[in-house]
Amino acid sequence: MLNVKVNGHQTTLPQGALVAALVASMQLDGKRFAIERNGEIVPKSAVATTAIEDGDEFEIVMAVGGG
Amino acid sequence: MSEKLTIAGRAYDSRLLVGTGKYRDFEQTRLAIEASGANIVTVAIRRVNIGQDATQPNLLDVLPLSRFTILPNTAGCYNAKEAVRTLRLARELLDGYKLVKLEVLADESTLFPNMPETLIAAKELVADGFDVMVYCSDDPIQAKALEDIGCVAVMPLASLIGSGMGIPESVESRNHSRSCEGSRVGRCRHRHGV
Repeated sequence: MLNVKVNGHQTTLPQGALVAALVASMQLDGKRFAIERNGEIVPKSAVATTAIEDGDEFEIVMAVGGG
Repeated sequence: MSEKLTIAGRAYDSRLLVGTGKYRDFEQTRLAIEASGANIVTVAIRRVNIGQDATQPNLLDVLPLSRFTILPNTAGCYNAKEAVRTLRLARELLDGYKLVKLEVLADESTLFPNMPETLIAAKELVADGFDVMVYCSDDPIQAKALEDIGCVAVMPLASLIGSGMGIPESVESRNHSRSCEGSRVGRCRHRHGV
């Protein structure tokens, strides 16, 4: 298993999981979001091909009311 | 007012910019913003809540990009690094949208801007290709510095939050108007939910 942190919460994902699997697990498919892996943005075009590594830290953001 | 508002080469029918905070729900947000006639609507960028109900609509479902110019802003950022990071995420989220609102705050109670950090962030964002509208102090020298950096609009602090004072016509703002004569940069008065 891979131990990762998502928006500050510790979670586990299966070995070999791609960023796309994380997106799917959060039910974000088809939604507008942006994702950062260890401080670097993962472009939408790379979500389906970027492999998750043990210890990765993710930040996933959306647009909300404010401003 | 019939004159259009032009920012970063795009003309807007409405000169009003509205926020999306503090509404009861998305339906109320949508109704109020439609009634306002505003073309430009600010949004905040925040972490997705873990375990949130994904079937719930999100803000951009009720305010589609096809109808509104969505202006991501950095409300809640207190340094240049956080603000630049937030707007890079916003650009990714909005498919490469370049128009953003930069605000770097210095103080939680007054929401006064942190001008040294604002200038650092503005430089970095302009160099990275963003069209930057920027919240700033009511000071023509700072505003001019932001114009010189290449910001597309300056948004000087208009009124203290909760003061009920409206927008005072200060010596600074009169001087500001004068100093910006002939300037190509847009000017918007900035009010924090007062």
